[in-house]
Amino acid sequence: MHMAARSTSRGSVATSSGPSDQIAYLIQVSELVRNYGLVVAAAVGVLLAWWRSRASNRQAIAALQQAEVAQRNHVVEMFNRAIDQLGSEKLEVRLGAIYTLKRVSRDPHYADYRLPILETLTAYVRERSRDDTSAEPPVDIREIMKFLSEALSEADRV
Amino acid sequence: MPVIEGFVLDLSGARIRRTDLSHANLTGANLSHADLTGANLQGANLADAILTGTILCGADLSNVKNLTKEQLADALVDETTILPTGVRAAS
Repeated sequence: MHMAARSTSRGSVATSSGPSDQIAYLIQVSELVRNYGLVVAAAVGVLLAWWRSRASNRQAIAALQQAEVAQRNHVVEMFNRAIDQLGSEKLEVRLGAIYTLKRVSRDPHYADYRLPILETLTAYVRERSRDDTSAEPPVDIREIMKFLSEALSEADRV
Repeated sequence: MPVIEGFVLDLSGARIRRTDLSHANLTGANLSHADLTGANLQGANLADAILTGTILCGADLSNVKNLTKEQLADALVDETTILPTGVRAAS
């Protein structure tokens, strides 16, 4: 009777090791699943971060392009206004226009304006000085001649 | 060959007395009938520049480059014009 009880007790010990293995196995599996889950979550996180950074990069590029277009429009407006002002009766207005055109022509971003500015200012000298009888040209003509001389000397040095 | 691509200086008929064009590259420039009285053209490059009727009285042409006798003969110079060494105005 006693022996039977012991054997039963042993039997129960033997059967109880099965579920504990299963539990350990389940724990391992759950850890594995958790770890894979973490890896997937991390990958998704990285993907989202990359996507967001790409989107913000695109936004930054678009903003930069918009700023460039705005700047270009501003220069076009400045150029057109300066050309109009060259015809002004007031010397100071004409001088302001000449300084504006000089500044635009020296800006490497607006190299395409250089030639029209040189042509315009040369035509201005030809037409405005034709009837001048003074010993020295007026200040606006002198200023343009200084600019032309510098431009032609710069070109010679290149 | 133009100095600045696409740009040929055209100051024909302009009255730009005592102007300073020293050391400027005036290659191919049209200066015909321009009044350059007393102008400073020291060291300027006058290759193929058109000087027909250009007034150069009192102008300083010392050390100019590529100035030919023919160009000078077409221009108006006097005894006050400073010519480059070895160049004499046509009498």
